[in-house]
Amino acid sequence: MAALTLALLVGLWWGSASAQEGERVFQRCYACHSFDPAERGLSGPTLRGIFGRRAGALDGFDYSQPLREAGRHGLVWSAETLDRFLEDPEALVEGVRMGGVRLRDATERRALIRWLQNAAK
Amino acid sequence: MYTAWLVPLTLVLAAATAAAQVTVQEYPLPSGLRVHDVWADSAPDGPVWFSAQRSGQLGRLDPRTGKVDLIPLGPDSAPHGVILDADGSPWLTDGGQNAIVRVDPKTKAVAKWALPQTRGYVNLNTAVFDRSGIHWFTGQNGVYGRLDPRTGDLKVFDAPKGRGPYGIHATPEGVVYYASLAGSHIARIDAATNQATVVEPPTPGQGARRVWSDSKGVVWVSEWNSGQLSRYDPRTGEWRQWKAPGARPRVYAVYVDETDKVWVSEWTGQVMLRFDPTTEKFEAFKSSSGTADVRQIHGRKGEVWTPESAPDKLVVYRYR
Repeated sequence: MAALTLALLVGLWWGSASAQEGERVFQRCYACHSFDPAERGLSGPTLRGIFGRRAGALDGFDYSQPLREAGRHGLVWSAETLDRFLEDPEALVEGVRMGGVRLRDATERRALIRWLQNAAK
Repeated sequence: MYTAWLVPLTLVLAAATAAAQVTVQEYPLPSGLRVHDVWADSAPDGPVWFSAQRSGQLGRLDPRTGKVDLIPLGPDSAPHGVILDADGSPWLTDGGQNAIVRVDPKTKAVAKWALPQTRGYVNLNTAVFDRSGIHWFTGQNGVYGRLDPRTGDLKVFDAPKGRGPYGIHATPEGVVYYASLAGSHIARIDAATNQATVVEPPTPGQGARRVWSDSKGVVWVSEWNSGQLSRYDPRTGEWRQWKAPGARPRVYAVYVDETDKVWVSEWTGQVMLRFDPTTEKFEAFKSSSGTADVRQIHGRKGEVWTPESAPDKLVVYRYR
């Protein structure tokens, strides 16, 4: 019983720490992305509902041609595709406009994506 | 340090709407750098420095030979802007390292001034030196700041309307202005108090991306969302705007040359535009790149330099 309680506490602590870390890492995205679809003046599209969305397909956003093409060829945002994209956007979609921005640390990417899975709902 | 020699390409192009000839010379860079900003040494034929955002390097082009040197800035580096100080040393706003970075042009030694950890990640964007040698910078997450290179004193301030601070420039009198892309305004910094005062352009939601002062202290603004070039005269408070040619233009960068002609990069048509404030006409110029994605412009007497981030090239437009 004590072991189970300890495991639950560790799990809760880890989940909380991971969420905090994800929110911290999101500061790298914050200048260009928000979760408010009504916020139109940013350089990047809203992240609301990103999971399961085809790349380059959000109505009303002026995507670069390579990202639209990638979406037409089947790129859909998931935890796995986002992880690859954030590590090196150019490696997944050559010519994408945010190609210079990389999140090289795998632990940071994992934390960000876990956090996004809640924040982007 | 990495060195490459790549063959430059020279084109002679006539402006689409004017008799004046402009010579265009292209310098290919090693692929995959994602060149972002450029800064030309003021000496004729002097080196041209550039930030390589994806590879985390500072680049130096010798335009006489096409030789390119690449200087690594650190494992997490992703530099956005590059400028030169009065001694010809390059300074970078390094978003990846959340630090201001200086490189010694002779020894290639890299010095860093990290932003305070209490500020977190600020997404460093662009910088400029004022007349007294203070290095002013912007952070897109909603900050601007100053670094005194003589003492290392670094201060960060909250931008008055939050996220968005992007391009920054100083007038000949030394007054610093920055543009806020997400905030759709420009702001004037009072160096004595470090206060930034918002100056609202008349077009709502215009997406002011970069600013550049002309020789008289008039501030020119590239507007990404509205596709306009706009002009703010601090002496009268008057604004004027000109829509860039073409359907749904997107104006990214602005630079004013030594004759007070205004150059902008337009992304829908992927052209460089030169605006004559006297005739109020645009002339269009293109390199051989289909998609250039010019994110910043700089120059020196008789030359305007552009970093083409899509094909990884530096392109110079020479004029008389």
